[in-house]
Amino acid sequence: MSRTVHDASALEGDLTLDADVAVVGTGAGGATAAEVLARAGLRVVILEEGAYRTARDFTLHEGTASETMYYDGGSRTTKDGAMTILQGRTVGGSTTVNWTASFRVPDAVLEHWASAHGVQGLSPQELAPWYAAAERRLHVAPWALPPNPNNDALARGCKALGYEHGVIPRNVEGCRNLGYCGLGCPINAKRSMLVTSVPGALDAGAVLVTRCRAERVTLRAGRAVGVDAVALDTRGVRPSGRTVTVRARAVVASGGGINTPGLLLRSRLPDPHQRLGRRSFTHVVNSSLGLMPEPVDGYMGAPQSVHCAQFLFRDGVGGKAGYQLEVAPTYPLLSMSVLGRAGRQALQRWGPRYRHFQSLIALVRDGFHEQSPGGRVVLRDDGSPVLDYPVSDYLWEALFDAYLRMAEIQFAAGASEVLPVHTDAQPYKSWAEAKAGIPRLSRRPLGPSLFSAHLMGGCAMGEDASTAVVDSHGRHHQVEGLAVIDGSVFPTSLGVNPQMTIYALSARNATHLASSLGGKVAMRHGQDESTSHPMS
Amino acid sequence: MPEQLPNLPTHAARAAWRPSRRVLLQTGLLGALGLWGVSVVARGIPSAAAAEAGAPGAAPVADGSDVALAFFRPKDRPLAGAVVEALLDWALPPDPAARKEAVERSVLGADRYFASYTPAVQDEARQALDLLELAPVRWLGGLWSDWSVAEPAAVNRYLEGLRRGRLNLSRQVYRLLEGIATVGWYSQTAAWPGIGYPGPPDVPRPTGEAPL
Repeated sequence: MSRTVHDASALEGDLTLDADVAVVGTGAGGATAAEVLARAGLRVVILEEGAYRTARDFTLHEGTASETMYYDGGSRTTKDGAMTILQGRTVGGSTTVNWTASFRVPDAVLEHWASAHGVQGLSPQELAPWYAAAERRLHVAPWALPPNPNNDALARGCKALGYEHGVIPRNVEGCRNLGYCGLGCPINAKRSMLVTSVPGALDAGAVLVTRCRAERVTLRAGRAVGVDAVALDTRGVRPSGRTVTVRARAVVASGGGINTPGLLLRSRLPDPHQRLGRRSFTHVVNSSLGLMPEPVDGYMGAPQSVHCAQFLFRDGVGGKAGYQLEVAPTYPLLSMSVLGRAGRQALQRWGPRYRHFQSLIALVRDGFHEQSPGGRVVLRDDGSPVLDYPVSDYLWEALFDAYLRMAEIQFAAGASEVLPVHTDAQPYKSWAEAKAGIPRLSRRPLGPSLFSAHLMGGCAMGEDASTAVVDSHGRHHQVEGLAVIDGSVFPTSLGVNPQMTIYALSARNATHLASSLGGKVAMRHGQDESTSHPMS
Repeated sequence: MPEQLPNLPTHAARAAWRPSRRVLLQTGLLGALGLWGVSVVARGIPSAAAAEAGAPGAAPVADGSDVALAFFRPKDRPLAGAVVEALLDWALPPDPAARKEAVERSVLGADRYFASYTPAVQDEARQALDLLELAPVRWLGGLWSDWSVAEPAAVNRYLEGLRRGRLNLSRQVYRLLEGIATVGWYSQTAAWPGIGYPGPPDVPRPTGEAPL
């Protein structure tokens, strides 16, 4: 069956499309929703801000990949510039460029959502079959090969110190252990949305429009009836002057954290309790660079295969903020630009030893405590969204504890020097030196380098309309015909990489939406694996 | 229908030299000179310079290069080049001609990268460059020579001041400048041998007519 894809940057006139459902976004939420809806026999139009880049375009050249497949080249930041956000802007969204870690959310998080945020129908038991279906579809399995040296250092350090650690499940099939998942998988081994649900939706008749930015959800008599969008230039950055209009019976917002709240804010939807954009979470990541005696070559081999959950729930769900430890691949541009934050001396002294870098990251579980209310998405003068994310003392405590544990693990794994990624830090030569020095580092914004690859929340779900934007099925509390199906509905962060939870929840909620629109829902999404395999 | 938002500002309108009042207000550095005085200076001097420099993307440009810029304005080249050379002097080729070319290629690499930013973020970055290119702002950071002739050591002292600065804005500006250098240079294959990065593997790609 032929696939219909419009590149909006090439439009010679304005484009108007009619559909049952307009879906905004092709990431973990949008692609899943589009496929479920299209397979239920509904007419679906999907709008994507990024371009349609596939394996043949993936040169693995980091500069090109960053410019063409990430928001702001991978340098999107929070309002004060203190946090750098890695977020995909390409067909498949962040799943096209993520590092393939595929976790289920810990049960304690789902139980907390039910008890503290009024989420219904999402107990671990109720979500389990949706996870299982997504795991089958995306070939999720614990990584069976030995970890690369970057990950092995985390395992080694944890082992020496008696910290619990485990193997990360990955969504790959026929993976050749190249290590360039973050720049797009060149052999289609990563089972991202780009090679599963996007072609699945297109083969079921969905129409995709790329390089097209949704400006607002259109309303009639209080009901969502479509989307107004602008066509972008070939860079996918500036409006070309053409417009794209979708008229539909229902709208699904799936732009992910920041972008979905941004779309709804621009649409001036009723928000009587001022909830929209609030409770935006990031996993507030900090990192530590170790220098190993042997080359680590952290750009090669599965980027993330070992994790340490020893400190994730160290004080219960509602106590001190916990964090998960993982590693980050050391692609050259990413590594050197982060190293440069420590100044020219650090660049000159460490740069030539680039192959020896070992990179640990800590993902802090934000949103589980009154002193961790998350950030807030606001609009700039031109309508573009930006995340304002203040870091509270409560979170600093976790981040500084994580700096210590990361340094301890790196020295235990044999590092000769450790550099906490922080403006004021100089490399430490021993664990004793690090232990004494780290607590003295400043906590001011743009001191510690903070990162996020996991945008969550901003359109929190829950049954109580005074605290949540959407209900537990993603339906907007105030606007008929509008659903949010992506990670922005999470009422807290997850504590683990979110892609699997977005797939599972999105398939569930899209199936519900398809039924309510009169679609024919035959089976649980993911159970039929016979179609849309890219290699078939 | 929801109320219409204001139209998106056009690129040309935003390209005109116009430091936002917000940026100026955030710049406590300028308090020393008096906000009023600097605002007058800022609005007066560069209008001619901006007209001469042209909008981004105009090609060919006056400095001998025929490569169109997408993010920088021709007037930003001296600053961008000085920052690349100062932060990466240890990594760039020692031969003067080769070094000049490497710096030039880095500036163009950074230009392409920053052109992928959201328009509002590009505007903020350009406003920061506008500010840095004002002589009084340079002087406040202890950099006396013009960006086009500043010694790398002096530029590094200036950058170190920004990096360790008391104000958020100062540290943000450091990250912007540091990004010009590291992103510009390390996106070039020529930079990779210097750090031992072998480059990405060459793998056979999927074939066939389908888009995937």
